Amino acid sequence: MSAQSRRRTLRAVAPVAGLLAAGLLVWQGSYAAFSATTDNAGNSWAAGSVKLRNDGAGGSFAVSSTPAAFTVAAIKPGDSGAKCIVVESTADIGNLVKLETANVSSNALSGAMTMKIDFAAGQFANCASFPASPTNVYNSTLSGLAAATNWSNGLGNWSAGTGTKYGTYRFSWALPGGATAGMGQTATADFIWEQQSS
Amino acid sequence: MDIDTDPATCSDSAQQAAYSRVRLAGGLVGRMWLWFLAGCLVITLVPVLFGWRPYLIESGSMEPRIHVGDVVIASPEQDPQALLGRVAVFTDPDRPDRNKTHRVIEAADDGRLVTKGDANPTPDSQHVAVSDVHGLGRLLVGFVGLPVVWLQSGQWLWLVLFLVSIALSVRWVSRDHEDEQDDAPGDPPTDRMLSAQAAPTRSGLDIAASRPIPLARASHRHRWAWRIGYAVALAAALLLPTSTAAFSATTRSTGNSWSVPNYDYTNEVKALGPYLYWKLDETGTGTTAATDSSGNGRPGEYNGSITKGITGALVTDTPNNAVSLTSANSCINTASSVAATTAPAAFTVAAWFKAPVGYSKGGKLIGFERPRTGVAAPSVGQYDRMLYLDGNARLRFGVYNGGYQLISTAGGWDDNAWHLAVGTMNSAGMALYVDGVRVGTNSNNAAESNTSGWWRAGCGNLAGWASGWSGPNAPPADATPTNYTFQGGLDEAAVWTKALTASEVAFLYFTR
Repeated sequence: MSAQSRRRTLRAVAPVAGLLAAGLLVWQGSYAAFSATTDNAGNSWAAGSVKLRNDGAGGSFAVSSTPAAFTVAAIKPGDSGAKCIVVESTADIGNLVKLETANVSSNALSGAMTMKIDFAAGQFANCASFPASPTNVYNSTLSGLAAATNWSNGLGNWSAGTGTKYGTYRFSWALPGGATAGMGQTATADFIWEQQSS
Repeated sequence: MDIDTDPATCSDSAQQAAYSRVRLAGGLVGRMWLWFLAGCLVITLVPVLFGWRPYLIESGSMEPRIHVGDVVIASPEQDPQALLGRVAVFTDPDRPDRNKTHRVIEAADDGRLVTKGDANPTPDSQHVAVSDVHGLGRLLVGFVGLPVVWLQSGQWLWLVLFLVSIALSVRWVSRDHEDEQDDAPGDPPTDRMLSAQAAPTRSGLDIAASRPIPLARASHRHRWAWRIGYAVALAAALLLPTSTAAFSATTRSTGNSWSVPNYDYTNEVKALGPYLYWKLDETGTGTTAATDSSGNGRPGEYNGSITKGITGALVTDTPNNAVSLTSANSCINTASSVAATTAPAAFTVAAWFKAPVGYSKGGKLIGFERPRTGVAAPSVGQYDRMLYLDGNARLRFGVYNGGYQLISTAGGWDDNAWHLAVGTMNSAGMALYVDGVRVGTNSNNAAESNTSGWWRAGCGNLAGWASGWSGPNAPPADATPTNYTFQGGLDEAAVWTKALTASEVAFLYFTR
């Protein structure tokens, strides 16, 4: 084979090689990404970029669910209370944390009870040294929390940043002394923090 | 820009051969790179012809399988069974103006799809309606959208390096292209040689100047074709629909609850330690005693015409009975077995009352009085520490302290509904509450003292209490003792020898 024809062959092969490489890339990527298996679940997140935990108001941090922070019984009008839940964010990209709710009751008691939620960056377990001027996140009836069901209507905008960061949410509830309804009822709420990369 | 080689260099000198091999290698690398990119672009864009759509991935929650800058090509698919376990592109329920590419992990009970990013610890909080699914991921073109990502995120260094790689490749290919012309079989050695030979016959132009012209033109056209092609492809790429694969995580505090028990009004009254507590639950015309539920043994007695067993004020109470005083001499007096007591300095009087619509007779709900039954002028008798209605059914709370100390509501209560009236007095002054709400205060903190008497409900002397009276039936002067029976419903009469606080009163009403 002459040098000329070898060069011609090489030049003819080069586009084919490029196209083959493109095809191979696509085929392999597609195979890996779109295979029907779901074996990925749960274990690959360690390499993931955002993670949230909460301390369930003074307990130990847990990823999924912490036990109820509030189980208040025998409430009378005029009673009130507050607890702080510390949320831990571990992220390596910019992100935003919002507070959402679920299972918020809609009975007369929930309409009579008030809930004020304040946020302060930092770790203030059991509200110790909670700043005097926190950021107010919510201040209305407990039943009104039902409107914060998802990311788009979630409460607050905590830009946790990268690394391990803490934010403390103080929940102050009250059944005002003038309450005239709600006897024999129970108000409920789940608090959910959601973090999304920004 | 091409190196204008001398015809003499066509000879196979060793140096020239090495140089030619370098140009060949550059040309091959350039060709492969450009064809690779072109292939990726074609694979990205051609499926559009079949109705599949490409989506540029902008964030990395599907790592390690799908990266930022990858392009997912999705075919239309809205069958939940086909989507299960697969990667789908859908409208982000959290941000409806964006698409999201995540894996469908299950179908929720409501038929919506539960989705999750492979790199996320928890499923997405919002489920996806099947109708919001744009497609099922079919092809993944790795990294092809990176230049767009770099452009959007301002990673100029990478973008410039990428563009330089294309420019270099184009340059290498076009240089090598010259050699390719030389190598073409059956052709004259080179265009250049040909022009060099033909030039004298073709034109009188200077050979050196004219020789490269056809080549330069060809390579210009070539380069411009590449440039335009890439510009078009890049523009097309910029129009790619984007899809985030947002990182997300959640944590929850569940099962929070606040409970208010079913408080019992009777128990709460008792817990506040009343001096006497007539629930007025008795029934039967023959019954004359009104039980004292305070535990202090201070019963009342039903006098005059009284209907017992009407429906009372406490819906949760069993029995929920009350009485209705039906004539001008009806009354519930302290029983004769109970000794007179010194009028307390601090006290609370409370009773539920129900006045018929248009009620204008006035009347006493509860008060302290001597004698035990009937009425007497102040020269003999004494009466204050009382709740009563005036001719417009306004509620009043009054004590006598050398003068008539009063608190009155602004409007009447003749609405045929049960209301809780509470009057309190101690050293801090007087307060009147209706239905648990304080409606007025008076700084007077003393009442008629050093007198003894009995509590009574539903009737009593009001002579002399014309001050501030509104409506008909105003009381006469105090020399003319006149009994005012409240001719309406009465329930849960109670007396404390202390002033209840506002929150205690509010709570009592709350537990009704």
